[in-house]
Amino acid sequence: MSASLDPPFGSNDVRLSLREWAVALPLIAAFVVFAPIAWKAIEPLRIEPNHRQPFSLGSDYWAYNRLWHAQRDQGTVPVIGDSVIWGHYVSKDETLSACLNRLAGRDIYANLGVDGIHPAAMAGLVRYYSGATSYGMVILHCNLLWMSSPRHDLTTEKEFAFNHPTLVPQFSPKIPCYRETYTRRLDVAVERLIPFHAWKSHLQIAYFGDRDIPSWTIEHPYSWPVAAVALKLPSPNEPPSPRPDARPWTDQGITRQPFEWVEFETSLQWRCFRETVELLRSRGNRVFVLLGPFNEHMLTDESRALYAARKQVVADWLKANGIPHLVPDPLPSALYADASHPLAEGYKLLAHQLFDNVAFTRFHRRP
Amino acid sequence: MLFHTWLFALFFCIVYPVYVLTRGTWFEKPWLLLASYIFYASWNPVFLVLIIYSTVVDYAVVWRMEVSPRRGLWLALGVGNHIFLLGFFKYGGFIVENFNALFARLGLGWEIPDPNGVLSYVNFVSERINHLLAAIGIPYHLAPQTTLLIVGISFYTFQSMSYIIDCYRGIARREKQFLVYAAYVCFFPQLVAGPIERSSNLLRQLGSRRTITGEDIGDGLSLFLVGLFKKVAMADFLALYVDKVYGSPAQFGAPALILATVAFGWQVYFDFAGYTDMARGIARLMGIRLVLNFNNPYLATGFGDFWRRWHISLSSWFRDYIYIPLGGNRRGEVLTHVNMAATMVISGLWHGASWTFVIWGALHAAYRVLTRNLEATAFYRERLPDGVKRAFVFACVTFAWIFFRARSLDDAWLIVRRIFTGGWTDPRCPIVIFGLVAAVWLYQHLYESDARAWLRPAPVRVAIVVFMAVCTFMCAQSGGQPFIYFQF
Repeated sequence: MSASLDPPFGSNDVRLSLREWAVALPLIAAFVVFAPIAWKAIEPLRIEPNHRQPFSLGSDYWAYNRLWHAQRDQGTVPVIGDSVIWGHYVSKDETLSACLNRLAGRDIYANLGVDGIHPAAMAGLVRYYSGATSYGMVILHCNLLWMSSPRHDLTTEKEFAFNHPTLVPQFSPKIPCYRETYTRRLDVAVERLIPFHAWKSHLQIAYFGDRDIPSWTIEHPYSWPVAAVALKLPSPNEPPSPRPDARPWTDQGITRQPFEWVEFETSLQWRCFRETVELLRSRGNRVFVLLGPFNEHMLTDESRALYAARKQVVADWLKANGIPHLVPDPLPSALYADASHPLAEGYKLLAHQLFDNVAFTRFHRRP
Repeated sequence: MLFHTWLFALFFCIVYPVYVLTRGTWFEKPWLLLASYIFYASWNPVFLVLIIYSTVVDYAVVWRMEVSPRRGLWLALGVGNHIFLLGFFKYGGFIVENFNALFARLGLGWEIPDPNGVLSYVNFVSERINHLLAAIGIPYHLAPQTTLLIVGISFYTFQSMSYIIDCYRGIARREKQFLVYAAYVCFFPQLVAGPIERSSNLLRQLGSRRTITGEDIGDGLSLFLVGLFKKVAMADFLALYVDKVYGSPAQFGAPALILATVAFGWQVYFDFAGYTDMARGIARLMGIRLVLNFNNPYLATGFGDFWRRWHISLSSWFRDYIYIPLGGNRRGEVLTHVNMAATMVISGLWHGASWTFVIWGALHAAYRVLTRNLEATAFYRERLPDGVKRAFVFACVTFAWIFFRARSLDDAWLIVRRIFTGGWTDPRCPIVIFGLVAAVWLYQHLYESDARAWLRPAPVRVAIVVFMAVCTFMCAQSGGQPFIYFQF
């Protein structure tokens, strides 16, 4: 009538004693720990000259971490930043780091930019997926575009989908437009500490069309998932999708814009940028900051004045903290594709400005 | 707070050490109760009011039942209270909708107000709580409630009713310590989706001093992993195909609809059995043994057998508190069949306030009534191969799942129609998941056959555990998918 006083264990024999768990748990832990490590030996990573993270692996942080370490092993100086560094409108051999390498006469600089990464995400990328550097040197790009409106700054109250949400702070500081559930935030916060999760995401992004394996099998019902793992990574030459219109901004019908710059006191992106610098320095790196060049030609007069004031705030902060930096002169208007991305000729000019800069030269000389 | 999320892992990492350290002290019960209430409040703190109200009323009712000469009145009050709660929060909308439709058809011009109007008050309170949480800097936001259905209400009301009835019958003794009783009603591992525990099992254990042995830890981990595998690697995987096909049945041919229905049969089993296994595993880690709720139901060789293997705690509840009080099989053939059918239809309605669930229950009633005498024959028991019986039961049970899963009665009829007339098109059903299902099914066959000894050696069990863990890790989808039975 009523339930048994000694309920049966179960309907299977999958029942381990503590001693058997002492065998099973290390085996499971070994898989979790060593699968990502062993994968590096299985999946070839060929670093090409002027290599950059393939566009389709833009949110593959495990691959980014691997690239970071591979570049460090090759003794290069990482150049980190958003799509300006990655080179959204240019080929991998026309990016800033490629131009610097040509001027240097050898491959010294590594393009470790990530398309679409904003300072709040960059702080997370550096914190969780970047390691040590070869000579303790990092070149960091500061793009004030991310402070050009409350939306770019992520301080708008209205919810919207922004880039790289799993890299941003999940709990503090609060991001008003980020409305994930508490459970999801905790999942993200925990999972980015576990390399296995990043590796699993890598497999999903690289081989399963950015889907988890079950979802992939729904699209490919008669395929064997293991067969999809071709061990061939996308080319660093692959262009962004959709393919960008690499013409001067004026030819694209873009007009001058009155950007509503945010106040730096309340800016989330500015706060995160400073955190990134401090984090890199706390790891023993010397940091060189490249501030801009922003397409000032695209700004209305009033907006340009506001931009100049903000640029000065950043420069003052860098100076006050003893961080070598360059605030390059604006490039000619025709060398910009949009508000912040130079075209190929623009990168060449920018590289020359850097090479001619005393602080940049000193940055390389100091031990 | 789902078992397969990091939030639950964090919650348990806080609750468990304190529980272990305070076992046997005055702090144990308050801690367990607090943990259970926090667990329940993670869905919506407003619902706590209802479970606390229910606990207090039941405690008082049973106390009065013990001292009052009018015990039946107190029984009626206690049971009636739960039926009212279920009727209002679970069936209110359904009842009102059907009555209003009937009134409209009769042209009476009457209209009963929709009980969902209460939601505005619930959401008002939720909004105030959100403001309070925001003011103290807690980044937690209660989502607005869109339905009156309260998570777990079908489970804890049935558990409470069994206690009241057992006390009335003299089978159970009144629990004098309020905290122990409250912990029994809302013991967090089984609070929201069972198993529905009798006081003779759970209350007895909660009221006594417990030890946690190495066997408890080993078994607890084993049960939890099996449950996690069933939920994350199997149920959520199958759900993708089922949702795709059942989301727009008109676009699919007969093979896809058949396979999606078979897939749903396994999905609902893995989902619910997975939850139960995890609940049992967590409880076992705490030194508490919950009842077995699923016993390889798709190996059933008859419909009676199926219900002795499927959601055992619910079917035994209906047997003890509905079927037997109605007369069971003691009043002749016809009444036995009537009692059986009534119990099955009520069981269907328990799952949800919808005609699809009524039909699901009615189908099972028909299966049971039509095959009861057949199952008793020597031919069926001895001559018919088990494989044939299992295939027959599985096919009938699977057919009934169409009504359980379909979004509406219209969809269900459409699916049934298209299964027979929809044409033979490529079902595009993932072979990987059916391979996994076949592996589990084969395991279950071996487990219940003479070959069970093959599954027993330690290396085999360890290998299976490692395989399940790897599958679970590799198949886990982002964000924990909710359990199907939470909606009941």
